[in-house]
Amino acid sequence: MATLALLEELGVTVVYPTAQTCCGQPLINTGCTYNLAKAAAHFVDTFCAFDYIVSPSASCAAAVRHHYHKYVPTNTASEHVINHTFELCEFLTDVLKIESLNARFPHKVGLHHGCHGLREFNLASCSERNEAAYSKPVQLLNMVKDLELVKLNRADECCGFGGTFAVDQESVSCAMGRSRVHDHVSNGATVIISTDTSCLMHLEGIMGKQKESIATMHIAQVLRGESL
Amino acid sequence: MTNHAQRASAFIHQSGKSPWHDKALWHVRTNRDKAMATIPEWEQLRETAQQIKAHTASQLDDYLVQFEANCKSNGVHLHWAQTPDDLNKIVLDIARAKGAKHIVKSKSMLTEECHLNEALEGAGLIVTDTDLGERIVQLRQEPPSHIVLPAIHTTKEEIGELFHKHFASEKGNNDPTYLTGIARKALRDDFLGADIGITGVNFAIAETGGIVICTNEGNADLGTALPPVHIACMGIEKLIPAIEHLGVFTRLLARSATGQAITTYTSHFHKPRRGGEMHIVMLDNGRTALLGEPEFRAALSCIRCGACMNTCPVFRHGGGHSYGATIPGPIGSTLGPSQNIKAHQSLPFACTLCGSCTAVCPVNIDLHNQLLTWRNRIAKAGYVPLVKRLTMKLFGITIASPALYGLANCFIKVVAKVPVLYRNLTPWGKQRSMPVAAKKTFKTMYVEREREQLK
Amino acid sequence: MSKAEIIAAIQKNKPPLVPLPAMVDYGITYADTLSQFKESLTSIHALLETYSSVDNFRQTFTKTDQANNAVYWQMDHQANETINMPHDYAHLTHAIYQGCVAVAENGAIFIDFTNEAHRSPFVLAQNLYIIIDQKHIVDNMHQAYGKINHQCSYGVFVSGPSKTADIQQSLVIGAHGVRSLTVILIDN
Repeated sequence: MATLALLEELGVTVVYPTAQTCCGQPLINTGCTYNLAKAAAHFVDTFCAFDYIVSPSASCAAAVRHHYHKYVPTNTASEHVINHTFELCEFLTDVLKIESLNARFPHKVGLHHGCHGLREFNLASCSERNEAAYSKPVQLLNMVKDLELVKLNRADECCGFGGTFAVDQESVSCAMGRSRVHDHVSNGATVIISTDTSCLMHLEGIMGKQKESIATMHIAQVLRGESL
Repeated sequence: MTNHAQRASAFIHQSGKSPWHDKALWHVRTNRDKAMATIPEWEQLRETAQQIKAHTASQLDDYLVQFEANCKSNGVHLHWAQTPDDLNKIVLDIARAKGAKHIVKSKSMLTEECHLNEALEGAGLIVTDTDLGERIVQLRQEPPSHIVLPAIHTTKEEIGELFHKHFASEKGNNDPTYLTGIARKALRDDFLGADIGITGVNFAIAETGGIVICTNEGNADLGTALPPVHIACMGIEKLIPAIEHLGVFTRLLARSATGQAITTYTSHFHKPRRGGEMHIVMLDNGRTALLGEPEFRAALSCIRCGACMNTCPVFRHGGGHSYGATIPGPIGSTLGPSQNIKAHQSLPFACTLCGSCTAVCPVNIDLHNQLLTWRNRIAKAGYVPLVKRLTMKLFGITIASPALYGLANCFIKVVAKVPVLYRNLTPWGKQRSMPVAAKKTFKTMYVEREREQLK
Repeated sequence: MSKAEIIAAIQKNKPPLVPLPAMVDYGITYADTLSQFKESLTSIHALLETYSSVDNFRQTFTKTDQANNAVYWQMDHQANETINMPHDYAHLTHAIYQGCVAVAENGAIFIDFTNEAHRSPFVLAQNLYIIIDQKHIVDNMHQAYGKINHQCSYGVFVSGPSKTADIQQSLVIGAHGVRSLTVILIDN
């Protein structure tokens, strides 16, 4: 709801096509692509009439932009959908090109750059490369009043969700999750935010079973200045 | 047959080493980052290295023939081996011809791939691994857990015990300097008494017939300066065209591996030592097949730096032995299935597709994309477990139909109301609390809002 | 025969030609090459002494040379040719070599063994000395490779004393090779 509200507040006409199901990312990531062509075709049908398709999940947008070309026939509709599917932050910085936000969030925020957004969509520079530092999420967060971004020890380490990995490799997944939580908490964050809901769900789950526990919020909610 | 997940789980829950192992390897990753920051042209170097390797692969036959001709004119014996058995036999034949009894070996993952030590020991020879980390795992009778830091999973207490048992070092003295001194003395005798020195190869130069070996300890240099016979074992993919290309690789290798600007010894061999002889054994073992795979052939560019292992959170938390493969980590998870898809089917799934490995690879191998492609191949080959396959099939059918999708959501809402069922449907709930199902789905809220606006 | 099969497999499987990238010298250069070289030496735990000439160094060294030292001078070729086996150098305390080129970005110095009777002294001795003329220091490895003997029978870039961190990641100087490296810089 925050994504919808945020976009509308910025003057965008937003429609949620109710026929939509799922982008099919789990099928792609598990290698079990049975019926993916049909699911992808349904996605294209559902969304081809719109100028832009925006998702509050970088991994879903990545599935469409980087992988759909393997599973859908090349035509005007599919080309349009593939090239016009955006993750929320990059839509705000690159398409809407917003320069300010009317939002206040007076908290210490730990930003979790989800891996799909970071390394597939180049939402930010990654620590592995020798490149000039930039971050679209940070660019947006800097427009929010009174928000303090904490510095993490491992700026862009994976949270350990990984889709079915979270269940099939439960031990490693949780070990990774605990490591991330500790990084945020020990550096003073009172809330962990991310561009990906699945990362947040996983970290929330970890914290639900341990003493070290702080809030989690999607970046869209923070950009609207919603309360903690 | 255990798989990666089971072994990693044991490492995390039983060995107690996981946080320590993770911290140690992250430290190595950090050192790599610091070294990278001193080289403004780092990304350019990576691209150049990638192109050199890709070019060499596209003309590998010509370069191998050129390499052989140059080795011959240098007085070096070159042997071709298609399988590990072929390689082991070639080495054994040389050893027998020389009446050799004792062999010293510097680090060579290729010889691990061939299980050369077992083959030689089976024939009555004594083989001493001379890289300190390799010597430690050799005495512990286990394989290395990392291709550059073979004993990264062992503590100094464990090594102290080990050396007390094998070298009569002081019981309870676990000081690394003391223990290294113990090993130095013992291995020195091995170097001086050996009949043959076996090494690996970091780079082979087609234009000159030379090979390059990089170490920090100097064990490859001792192992080749002293024994009268040097046998170098290499994969055919180690070839690069010319000496000048070494500038690129020697600037990338150590920085990527440990964060050092260069290894202590970067040794170039063109001829045997005076009074000695030199052999090079080149191995195929599936490399020519991999060359024919457009989606995977980039893996042949690997310069065995280990950076992908140091950055991979699955490797750091789960340990190198969890992979059950000669080469572990991200690169091992694509090489392994290419050699034996059945044995290594769990490896491409031991990954969250975070992409950190691809970003650190000095030769720009698209590691995480290869692992994703492997998942598809493994699923098509029928190796994905039945439950997962059926679940995904059901999922695929459901999301292609809005009606079925709606039904599925209702079903999940019902299940979420029965905590016992919800928690135990998957292993999610073992160490995590269950996600709280929203009271209303987004779709419901949206439809309600639309209705309100119409009024 | 393995060779024929391997070559045939490659010819069948190899990808279309990928062009070889041009090797331009784009490697890092330093405003003060000597200063960077000295910094690199410190980080690799190498020691540094400066002399105005090789003779000066040899005189100074010989004066301090103790009776229980066994010293190898690479430059004494005739004497070295009389030694039978590389193992005969097992009791060396010092080995002294002439470097060909030194590299500022990593502190490495290249030793060419092509004309040496034996390869063992530099790695069997307890302490290594490498003499290098200041004018033979280059900025980076691309330049260094342009200056060394491409066909050396055996040549080594030596960057510091031997070391290992295999025991719980603790750095120990003096693994199997030398325990110390001293660079003798000639700055005439």
